[in-house]
Amino acid sequence: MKIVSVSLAAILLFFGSILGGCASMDAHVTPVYTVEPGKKSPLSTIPSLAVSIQVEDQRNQFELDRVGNKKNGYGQNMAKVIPDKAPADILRDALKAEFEANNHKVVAPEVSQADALVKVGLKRFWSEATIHFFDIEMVATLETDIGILNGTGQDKLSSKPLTSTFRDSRQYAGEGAFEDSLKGALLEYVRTFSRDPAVLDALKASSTRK
Amino acid sequence: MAWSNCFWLLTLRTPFLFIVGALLTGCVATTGTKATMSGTDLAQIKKAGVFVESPHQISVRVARDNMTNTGAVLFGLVGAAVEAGYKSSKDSGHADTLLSAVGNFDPAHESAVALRDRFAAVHVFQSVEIVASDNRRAAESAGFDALFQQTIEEWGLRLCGGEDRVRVELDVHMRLVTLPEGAVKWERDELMIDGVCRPISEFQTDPEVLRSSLKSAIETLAGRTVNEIAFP
Repeated sequence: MKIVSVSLAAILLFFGSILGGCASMDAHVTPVYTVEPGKKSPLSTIPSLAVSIQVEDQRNQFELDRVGNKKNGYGQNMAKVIPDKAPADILRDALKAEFEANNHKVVAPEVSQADALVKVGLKRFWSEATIHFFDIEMVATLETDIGILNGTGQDKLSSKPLTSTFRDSRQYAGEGAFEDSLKGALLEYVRTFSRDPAVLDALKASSTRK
Repeated sequence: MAWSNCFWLLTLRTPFLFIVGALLTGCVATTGTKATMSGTDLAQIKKAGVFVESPHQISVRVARDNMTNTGAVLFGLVGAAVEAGYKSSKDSGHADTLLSAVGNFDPAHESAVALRDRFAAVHVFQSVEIVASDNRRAAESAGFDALFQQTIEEWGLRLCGGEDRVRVELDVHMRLVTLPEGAVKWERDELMIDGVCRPISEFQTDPEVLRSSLKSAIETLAGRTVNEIAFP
């Protein structure tokens, strides 16, 4: 019986050390969006445009150096989740990839020949783990305000908040969980952007004014 | 070592397998597209029915999204449970104050109309009609090839910044099943947060703000959903 107890304690200690991980060490994540080869979105139905994308980081000052917090079982912050690339760049690159995969050309904002200017104010890019009784829920959000302007001028065709949320349920949430959930939110954001009726209408209007 | 002395290994097998099993279960995404349709599947559907249900009243998530964890830190699991209960009750109070503003607004009906109109505008199917039930046999005998089913699991307002600023939230489960076999050809869960962040008092005092925000979110969701099906 004593052997059983000792062995059980050893096994629990072993798994406890895995599950505990390094909760007090900062996590580094690289959430990127990858276009699925051959997949087209409704953006492909719009005649080819030269698009400029401007992303401005407008996140809360307390979240500027991180995209999440690692927490202990009581919900106290233990360490930061730090992106290896600036979130504004991550978002701009994701939108650029989506436009290019759908036959549009992305040009620098200073280029005067742009047919449309997509201005994005990044409000939040955040991932959070909530511990429930049976599982750990990861929730990631990407919140923005977007404006679509005709050419590089001030003629605004559409302006609206655009938000995506990604949730998943896990038994174990290590550093990979934060990266996966942020990737999920980014993927959902790009899908939302490229399928949103107001965004599509604004870009169509840009193409007719060319 | 005699075999009988290794009995403890067998005794430990169950908890060991349980722990390993739990770790290997991995993760299950609770939002996003679970099943996508091919163009061929889509082309086979000529007439589709739209059925939307919304089993719950309006909900507000303000206090629950503002958990402090003070209870958990001071009193452990019991403290966390007490705090969760208190916050849940506070949110129910907020939701009750919105009931009169909601009036006879029916999210299921609004969503069904928006989906029908969007499907028709994009010509995803030759014919689309709203149906009163999700009974597959009845739909099949009425000549439908497929049923688009949407369940609005939660609808209302959700915290978006500060202490009491909220915006519209729609938590929906959607699927498209072919008839008569009932095969799920497309499935998606979506937590949609939409609209401008406003103090909750604006939604409470002006019913039109609440209704128009809900209607706008429902119409946007319908547009995105139809585009999602048309462009898997």
